[in-house]
Amino acid sequence: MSSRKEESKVREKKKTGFSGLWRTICRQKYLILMMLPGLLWFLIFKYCTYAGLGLAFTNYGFKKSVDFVGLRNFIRLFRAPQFWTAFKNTLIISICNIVFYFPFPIIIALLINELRSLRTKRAVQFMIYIPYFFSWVVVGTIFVNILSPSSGVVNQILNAFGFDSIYFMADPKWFRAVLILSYIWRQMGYGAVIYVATLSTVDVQLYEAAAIDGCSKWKQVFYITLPSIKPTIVTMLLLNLSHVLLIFEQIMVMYNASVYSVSDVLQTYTYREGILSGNIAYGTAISLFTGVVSLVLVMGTNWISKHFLEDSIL
Amino acid sequence: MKRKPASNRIRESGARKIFRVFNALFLAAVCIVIIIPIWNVIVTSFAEDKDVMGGVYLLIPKSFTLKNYIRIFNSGYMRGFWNSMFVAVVGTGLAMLITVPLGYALAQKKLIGRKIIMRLISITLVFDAGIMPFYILIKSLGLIDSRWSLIVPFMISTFNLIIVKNFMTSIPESLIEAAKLDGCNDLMTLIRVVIPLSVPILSAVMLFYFVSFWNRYTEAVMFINNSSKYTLQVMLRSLVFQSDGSLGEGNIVYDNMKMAVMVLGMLPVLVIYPFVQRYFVSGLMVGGVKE
Amino acid sequence: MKRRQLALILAGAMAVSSMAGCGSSSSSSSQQPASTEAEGTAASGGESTETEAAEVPEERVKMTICSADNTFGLSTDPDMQQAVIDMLEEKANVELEAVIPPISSYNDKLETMMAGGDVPDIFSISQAMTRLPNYVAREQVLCLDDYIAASESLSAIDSSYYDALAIDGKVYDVPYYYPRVKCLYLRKDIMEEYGINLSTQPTTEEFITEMSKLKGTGIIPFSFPKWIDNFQFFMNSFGAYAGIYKNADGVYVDGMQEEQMVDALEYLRELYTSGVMDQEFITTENATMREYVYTGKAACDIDYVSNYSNYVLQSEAAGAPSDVQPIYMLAGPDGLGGGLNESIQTAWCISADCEYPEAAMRVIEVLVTDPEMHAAFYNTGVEGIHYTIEDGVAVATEKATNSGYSIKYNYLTDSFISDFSSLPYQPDEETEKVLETQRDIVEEAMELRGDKQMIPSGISTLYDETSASITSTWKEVVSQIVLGSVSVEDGLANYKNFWDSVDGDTMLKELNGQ
Repeated sequence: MSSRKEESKVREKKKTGFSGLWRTICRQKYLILMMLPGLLWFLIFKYCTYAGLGLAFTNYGFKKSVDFVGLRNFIRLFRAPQFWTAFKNTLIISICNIVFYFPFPIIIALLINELRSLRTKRAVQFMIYIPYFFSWVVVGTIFVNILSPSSGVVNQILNAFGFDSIYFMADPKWFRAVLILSYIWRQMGYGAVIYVATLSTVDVQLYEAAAIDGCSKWKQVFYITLPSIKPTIVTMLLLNLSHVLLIFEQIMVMYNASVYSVSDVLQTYTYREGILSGNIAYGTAISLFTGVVSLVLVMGTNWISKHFLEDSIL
Repeated sequence: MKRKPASNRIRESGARKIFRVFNALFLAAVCIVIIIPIWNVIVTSFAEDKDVMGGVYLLIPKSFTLKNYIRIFNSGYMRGFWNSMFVAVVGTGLAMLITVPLGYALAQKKLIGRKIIMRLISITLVFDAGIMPFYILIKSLGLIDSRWSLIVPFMISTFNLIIVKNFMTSIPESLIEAAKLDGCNDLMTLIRVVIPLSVPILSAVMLFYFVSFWNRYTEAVMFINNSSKYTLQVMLRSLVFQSDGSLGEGNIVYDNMKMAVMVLGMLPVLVIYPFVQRYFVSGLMVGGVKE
Repeated sequence: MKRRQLALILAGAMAVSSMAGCGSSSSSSSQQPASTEAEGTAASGGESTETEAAEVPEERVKMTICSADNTFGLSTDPDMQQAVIDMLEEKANVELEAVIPPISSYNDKLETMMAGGDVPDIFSISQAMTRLPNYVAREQVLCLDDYIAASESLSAIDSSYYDALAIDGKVYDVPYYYPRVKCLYLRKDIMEEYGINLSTQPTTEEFITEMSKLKGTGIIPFSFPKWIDNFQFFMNSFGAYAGIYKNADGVYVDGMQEEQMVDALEYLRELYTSGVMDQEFITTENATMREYVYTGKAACDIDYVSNYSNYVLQSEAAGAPSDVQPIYMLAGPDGLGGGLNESIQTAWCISADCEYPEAAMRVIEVLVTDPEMHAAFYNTGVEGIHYTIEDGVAVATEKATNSGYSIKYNYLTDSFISDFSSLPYQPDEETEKVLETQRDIVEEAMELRGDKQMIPSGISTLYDETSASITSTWKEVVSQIVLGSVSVEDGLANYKNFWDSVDGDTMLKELNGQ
């Protein structure tokens, strides 16, 4: 209530023009001072680099002289079949990551929350967070070992059940599954940490009241826990969406020539064309395109979140 | 819902028991899946050269030697370790100093220009200009080959900022206004009321920052020229990551040495985590005061 | 700990204003020796050699040098690298600022510096054939013809090595060592035990039949790394070449679409299905492949001819000592064949913007032709830092060993320098014997090496733009065929589809100047 009053007050003041605005600024001087360093940082380290996106319209990096070439890079981009393969793969892998990975940390966090002993709780939390300390190079090596057709654990289990060994890392049919599973393996603890932190702030009294009312645990989860962490879930979804298109390192260290067609993504394509071939302008054009697609994706989700959950995240 | 409270509770406790057992089993399975490869890394790091040659996957120790660790502690890797430590500690400190106030300010609904600022910040979540414009910016700021080039440009992660901001938005306004009535300005409110209430999420974000500073690789290679300023990740990569050999031959380094450096790379985070973790649940104590 | 204090002060400043933070951080970077700014050729202000700064004579010019961390004395320890830099400064009478990126990111780093306008004055390029044409088209490297002619020792190097990388008859680089050639190495103890009878130049059929004797023994007959380029070794036996090349008539053609490629691919497929080739090759790293052979887990692999001594010495270290027999080439049905030629892999270039090309040339001359410097830079490092001499034999110091350094003598067989007798240390007798054999192997392999071609940049824009895609596509198709995901026909049909979609025929016409 009071905030609404405040807002209307602000609106009134705005009507009086510049002096009103000035008064608001004066009143919020601490808030503005607190924001300033951060905003300046954004201006310098984010928005200044965006000026560099203009390179997408030049032939920078190919010849000595830099010329404006208009949309040439984009035309080449849209004509390149490898680009479309990369785009398609990025979308497929991203969507699979969201669908399969995203619920995992939530479930894990809820399950950890159900553990009684605080010590066990902490131990489990600690363990599932460890893989996040490994860089992808290490994770890649680990998965090659586990999935090896001759000596890997997974194939030994398959053999025990009478199935043939599968060369997961080289089979286009299986490789995406490997990518997603290894993603879950490494990132699960990272997501869970946030949910556990949020869960710890849910009011205990709510549970006590529900228990007195004879609410089953399941109902408590659905009517108290999940609604309490709903904003976090939506935020995490959006944040995950915003960088799924930027998936790079994992694929870079895990893929090999035989699975290019199912795993070459926009970022690996950019790396090959932009950095390794020295065609910076073309690489920037792909970056720009990726950014626009991400923007549409995130803004779309934000819009949906605003309309259906009455809760805008950004 | 209230129909048969007594019988409900009895039935429930039976179901609860089963759930508990399954829950414990499931989490145990998850932990095992996670632990096995890590165990392998640790066992390998203590093994002799002979036992790790030829892509052997060790789970049962064949030999135990501290040789690999002694070598590392007396080598150039330690310099990388301290460089990383400097970047991660200073970086995390600065990142928190700059992220938290911004997150708090943006969480205030009355903030002037809030919507447009949020829009502009959200854009940075999805747009990445790529390494070249970034390099040119760092160069024009005179930060190339400075350790600060690994700190200042990463002081804010939009991702973490939004997590902080959204958490702070969920803090009841009544609490903030009560503080204001007590004569607190925004800065005091942040320090006295908001931060204590946000300890769980802030410790999580702090951990994220630390890990991201600690593990940063690409930029460390791009922005640093002098090898005495390289971070541990750079050194680790030149040890672990295999080039196609066409670039020439480096030293022959066996897995045990690689794994020992990997363990060194994980050490600080492993040490810090249990301390930070304590605060994930501390919110419980203040949670009761919330309403 | 002064830095920590600075950090604290900065932290305080930054909380007030990030602008203040930026200001102070840039000033902290400019606290480095003032000479950096005075020169100003490169914006990269690395710490200069503080230890020597005082004694540096006036006429020493300052420049930057960039090379991966498998040079500068084979140690990643910054102090040890500095010792090698000091030696180089002394010998070439220049002041150097070295950029030494990890080898796995070397190309990325160099490419970023070049695109960002920080071209190092002197830099080494790897995969020279692929990268040099691009740098030349961008006019970022200096033409070295006159400088080479002016240098007695550099012009003594066989001109064919310069010609291999010449573009339009002009030379832009100085090769660092002989062309790299790969052959197969076969463990002699396994050959004896299982009665494998292969000469140094067997036929393709013999190779499969003999190696098949190892099936069911638990030994991997032929270990192979994940790098698809190595298949060229077998393609040579059929006169096939993956990628675009100039054929005998001097016309550019696409190797994947030539008739003989079908035979080559069918052979490779057979190599895999017959169980001779490692079933898990696509996830096998070079290091793992080598360790398989060192330990006797595999009988055979493919490697550089100059690594022969490693096999002999490392298999001993692994407790499974054995000599290895090189197989220089497999003779195909028509008697064709040749070792895998990777041409000049590493070469030195000078930036087109370099202010003191003569001084830069002096550095390269020392690096390539001075025995002491070459050995130090390429392998062994500096006496007293990397090794000490005991009875004329170099022994690695403890500190060096801790960083993974070990003494290597590759310089003895790789470099253009014929006489290293001036060095105060020599390999021990056993190593000397092994190296003697290696020298012969290198010589023979050089005779039998296959073809490798370079296509200049800047002739066909279409080619410049699509060459990366062509390479990744043929690698994908070939690996899928070998692994059996697609048949030879389907794989080649896929390739043809790709070829048409990038307008490959027009590209060939442009390359051929039609």
